[in-house]
Amino acid sequence: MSSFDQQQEAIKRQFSSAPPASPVVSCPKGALTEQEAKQWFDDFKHREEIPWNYPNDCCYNRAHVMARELQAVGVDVGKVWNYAPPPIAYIANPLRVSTSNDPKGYVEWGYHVAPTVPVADSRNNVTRMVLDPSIAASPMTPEQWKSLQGQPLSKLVFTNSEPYYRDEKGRVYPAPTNDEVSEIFDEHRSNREKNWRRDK
Amino acid sequence: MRKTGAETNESRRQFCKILLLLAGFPAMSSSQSAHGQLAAPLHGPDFVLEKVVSWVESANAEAELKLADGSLWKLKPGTRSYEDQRDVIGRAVRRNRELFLSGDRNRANVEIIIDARQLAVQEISSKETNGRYSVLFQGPPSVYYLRTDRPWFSQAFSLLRRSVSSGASFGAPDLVVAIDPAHSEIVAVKGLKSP
Repeated sequence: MSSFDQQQEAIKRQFSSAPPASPVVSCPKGALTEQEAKQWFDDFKHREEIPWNYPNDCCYNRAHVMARELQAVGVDVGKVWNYAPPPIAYIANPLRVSTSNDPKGYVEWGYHVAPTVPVADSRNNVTRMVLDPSIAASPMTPEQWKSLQGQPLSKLVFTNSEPYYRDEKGRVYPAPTNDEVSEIFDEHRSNREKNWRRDK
Repeated sequence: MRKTGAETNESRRQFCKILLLLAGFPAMSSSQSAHGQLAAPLHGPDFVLEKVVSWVESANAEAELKLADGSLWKLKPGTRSYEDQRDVIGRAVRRNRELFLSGDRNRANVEIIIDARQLAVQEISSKETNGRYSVLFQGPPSVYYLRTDRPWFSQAFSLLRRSVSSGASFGAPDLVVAIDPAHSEIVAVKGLKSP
């Protein structure tokens, strides 16, 4: 093909009115579209058995349940852990999140965890996003999620969905039974009630 | 126009009020954040961290709760706190775990019942601040507090410190701990005996 023909083809491609080969961009395997990710986020947020408004505790249990459900439908789910900066300073420099879900108006943590999912945009670029209705209003990037927690020196660690709890030294622990996971939710909902009732 | 003496005094008073407000506001804020939520002490006078021996509900009478230390407690049905207390007792029975109860043993009156948890300590602050030590456990993300003016302080502090270096972990906890969630306060600690 001559260079003239090549230019002609290039111009045709630019101005062609023909539709692209497939107008529906399929997600890479295990990823969600942006709409799907938001839908999952909203569905989780409206689940009454999950105590989203008890930020004092429960992140590991919430992350476990979300990850388990996402994994069951084939999503390549992982977890992101944010640790307050060491050494021996988790208490001195905790993560701190402003929230109306605690009577004091904030909570302080040594660490925090939430599930991550791969999200594909309209061009099929995949970005890992955090689903954490306990502190966010929509899916967000890990860096945005970290910045909500008010400790610039904190450290993000990414894992697969398996660890139920991961300590700051990297030791991981498996999830308890489903019954125990439910009991933990019950306990935390009860604590949430105590948290508010005695301060009114 | 020159101000009269009275006007000048009034202006000074207003200026002083503003200064006092400006000086007081940050002081109040820092005090509040430094102290967090300093709770009124639980009245007790009895504090029990034990397993449930029996739990009997009756249709038209007070429910009876017997704990492993032999103490017997009566709970009045029909209140919101009763429903919560009932849930805590139910969880303790199902999980074969201790619960924490504050109340008056002689009158069998219950002040509060709280879930107890099996935990290991990750870190304790090296010094007390505003009359309390900060404690971080393995698992729960929040910072909790042990107040030095509580009757259980010495024993609890000793157990918590021992836990840090004991090799205990999230998967192998060495303590049973009760935390008052309303004030992030550790209200009872005891060693977890091996089964």
